[in-house]
Amino acid sequence: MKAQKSLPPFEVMEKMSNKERGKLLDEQLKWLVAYACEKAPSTRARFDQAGISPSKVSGIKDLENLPLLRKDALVDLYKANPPLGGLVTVPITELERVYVSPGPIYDPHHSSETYWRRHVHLVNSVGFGKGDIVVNTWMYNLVPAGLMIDEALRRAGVTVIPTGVGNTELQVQVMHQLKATGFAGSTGFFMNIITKAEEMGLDIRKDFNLRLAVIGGEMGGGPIRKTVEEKYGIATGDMYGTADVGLIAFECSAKNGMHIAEGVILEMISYETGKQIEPGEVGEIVVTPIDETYPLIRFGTGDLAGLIGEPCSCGRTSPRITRLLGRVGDAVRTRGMFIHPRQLEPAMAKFSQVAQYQAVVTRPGTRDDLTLKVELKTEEGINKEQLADELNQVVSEALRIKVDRVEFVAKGVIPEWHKLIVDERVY
Amino acid sequence: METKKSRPSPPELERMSPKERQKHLEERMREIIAYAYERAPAVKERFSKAKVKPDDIRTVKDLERIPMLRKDDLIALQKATPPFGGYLAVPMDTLERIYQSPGPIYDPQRKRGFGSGSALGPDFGKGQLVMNTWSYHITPAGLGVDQLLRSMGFTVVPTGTGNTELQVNIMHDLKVHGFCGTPSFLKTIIDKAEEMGYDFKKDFNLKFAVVGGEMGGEPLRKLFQEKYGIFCMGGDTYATADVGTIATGCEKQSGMHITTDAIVEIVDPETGKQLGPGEEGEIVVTPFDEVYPLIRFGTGDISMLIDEPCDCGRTTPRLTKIMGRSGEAVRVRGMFVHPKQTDEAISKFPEIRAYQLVVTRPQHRDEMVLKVELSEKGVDKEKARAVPSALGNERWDFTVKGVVDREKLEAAVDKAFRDVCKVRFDRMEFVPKGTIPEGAKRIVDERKY
Repeated sequence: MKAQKSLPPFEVMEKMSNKERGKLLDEQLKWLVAYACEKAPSTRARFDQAGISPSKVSGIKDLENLPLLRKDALVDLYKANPPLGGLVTVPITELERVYVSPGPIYDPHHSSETYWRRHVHLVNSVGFGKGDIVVNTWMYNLVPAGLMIDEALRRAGVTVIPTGVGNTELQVQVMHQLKATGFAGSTGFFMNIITKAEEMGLDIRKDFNLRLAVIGGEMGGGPIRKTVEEKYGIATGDMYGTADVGLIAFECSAKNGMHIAEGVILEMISYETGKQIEPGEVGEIVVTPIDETYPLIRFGTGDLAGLIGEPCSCGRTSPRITRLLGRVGDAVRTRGMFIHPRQLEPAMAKFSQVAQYQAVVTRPGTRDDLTLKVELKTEEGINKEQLADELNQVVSEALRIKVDRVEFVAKGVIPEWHKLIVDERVY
Repeated sequence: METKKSRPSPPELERMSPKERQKHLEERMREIIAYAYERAPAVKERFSKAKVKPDDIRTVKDLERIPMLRKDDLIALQKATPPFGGYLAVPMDTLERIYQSPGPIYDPQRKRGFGSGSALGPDFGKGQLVMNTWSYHITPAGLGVDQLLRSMGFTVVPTGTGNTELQVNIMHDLKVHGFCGTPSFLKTIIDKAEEMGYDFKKDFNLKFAVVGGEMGGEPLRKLFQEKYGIFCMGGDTYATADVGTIATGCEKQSGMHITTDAIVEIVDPETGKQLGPGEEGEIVVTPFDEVYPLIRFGTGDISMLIDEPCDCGRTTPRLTKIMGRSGEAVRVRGMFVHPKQTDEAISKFPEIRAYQLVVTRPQHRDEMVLKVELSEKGVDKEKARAVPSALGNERWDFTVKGVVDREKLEAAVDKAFRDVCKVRFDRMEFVPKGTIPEGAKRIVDERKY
């Protein structure tokens, strides 16, 4: 087998035309598919089952008929083929580390050159580099997150304080005393630390040296980030990744969506049709990272995002997606259409009278029935009949299927933490 | 600092005649002292205070002229000149990581880690999986051991502490060969496996363990070897967060050979004078470390030297087991607990007027009981307001109508204690007023080995 070619420097690649980049990535993919099918039996089996000959693959377009590899399938493969699911290209004892994710999935530590080049470039692009002292609060035990980000930061020249998650008070102390310039972790945990610091009498602007907080991994972090920037004067950044494939997207200084990292092939797939979506639409993030240690081909993240068509003002030409909009599994197929909470949410946001709501799908006979349950903030001065009509119209339009009825329910009927769309059909 | 070409390798150093080795070690000692004096301002200051110049220190005996650097001194120095108290000898932005240990004390990631000086080559661990159960967070233990294991060719499963059942599953599923951690945690895992219905010897593949960090591991090591066939590699290993590995056991398991990339002295903790083999004293270390050259660092641990030759062929002196601490701090389940820390944790609770932490070892596991005396009339609200809140808004819930809710208080103290000390006590005992005498020791070590 031919040796893998190196990709050009990522500072060069990120400015290339899509066509040029696509050509380089297709070349890599061709090599990766051949390599993975030779070394990873479960990948070979996926190709065989789909009737695709690895040697005939010359680009990502040839893989449209290869079913996505989703997390639950991954768990099954690990169960069926211990210890590494037939997915890793080297024997377990040649790995530097083996991680443990829920499943259990035994994630390998990556030794691929492209993998680490991608991570270093991503960390640099998000704004960290030499001279930074970064508190890394991702967990180091068991799962890959903490140690993976630790290594990426160190390779990018950063001094890391490996605090891990928890011990809020200690985190405040360390950040303060070591004059940390950066933070990496979840949005929620960052806010815990900030709150704790204020409780302890510290002034975030004066007593801290924090320049950049890369807080991500959560949906709906937008308003919090605004607070962090405006109230505390700390810039924020975002990185996106999964335990399986590592970091795959980052927010640039333009803060207008996330760029897909160089060294990753992105497909945005419609959860309705399974086909590539157009810019402006929402689909599942599907990636094939160029990574010879753990070549997951067409890995379906289960995360939904919008595909942005316009070029970014930062000058990078890499594909761009919106912040995460939900999970594929949240969609409920009703009368042949997928309805998703992310469609329901903006529609309901228009009704300020509503305290809680939930769409319920049942199947009394042979037809899917859709009820919208609504709890009002107050019933005073509300014409329920009229409101029900308005709700029905707006929501039916957003979901693209007809709501059968709007039901006003008493306080407490809809639990505080609930799914926005619940499937109660019994077949 | 460049390494000279003619310098013998660690395995060579470990096997040469003591006299010849002393010559090499003293040469390196002189180099590191000259280097540290030039680059680390705190070293220069310490030397000036003692009225010594680097040239005055030619032999190990001459080291006595430099006052020891105690952990408490280092904590104070770091406070005065953050973050490293003037001991960092390289630019800050060249550091890969910074750790924090209880004190608080900050440790830069050194070049000389937990492994250098080891006679085992990079192929030693090839083909073997090791579970590293030292904590990877904040303190250097987990990441230091991880680095060492990987440099020896092992594949590491970075499990960290806790999650016993998951640890059992991982050990079983991955057919793990080796274990790193405290002896008591390995015992906990074995017990859990048996409770889950496994026959540990048959169903598991655990061949060796590198255990340490606790006093009194011998009976457990014996149990692991005799009952379960787990070879306790190197017997014991002795390392501290500040200077890394100091001594490692060999296959003969008769004491721990001191490393060849540091000068290790046993001294009288009162006078700082060196003691001979067979005499109990404090372990004092001068690591050959270019990043963080702590000269004459007093570990606070008490041990003694054996200088008879070992059957393994190494000629290096050996430390016997660690016999205790010269200060007040005690090492519990591998973590040091200082009275300063317990004070910090308990001071948040004005409900508590006096406390004492009692450490025992009923069955191969360190047990901590926190004895507390409650304030007579509930809480002095004014005083309470002045103390930083431990639990945010829940703070006021402990005292209802003048009566302290003991369960809630215990939960809150447990959390505060864990946050500060990083280990948890086993239970809290409410004792009548006057049980804990005024001025009593705050930590009492009642362990018998």
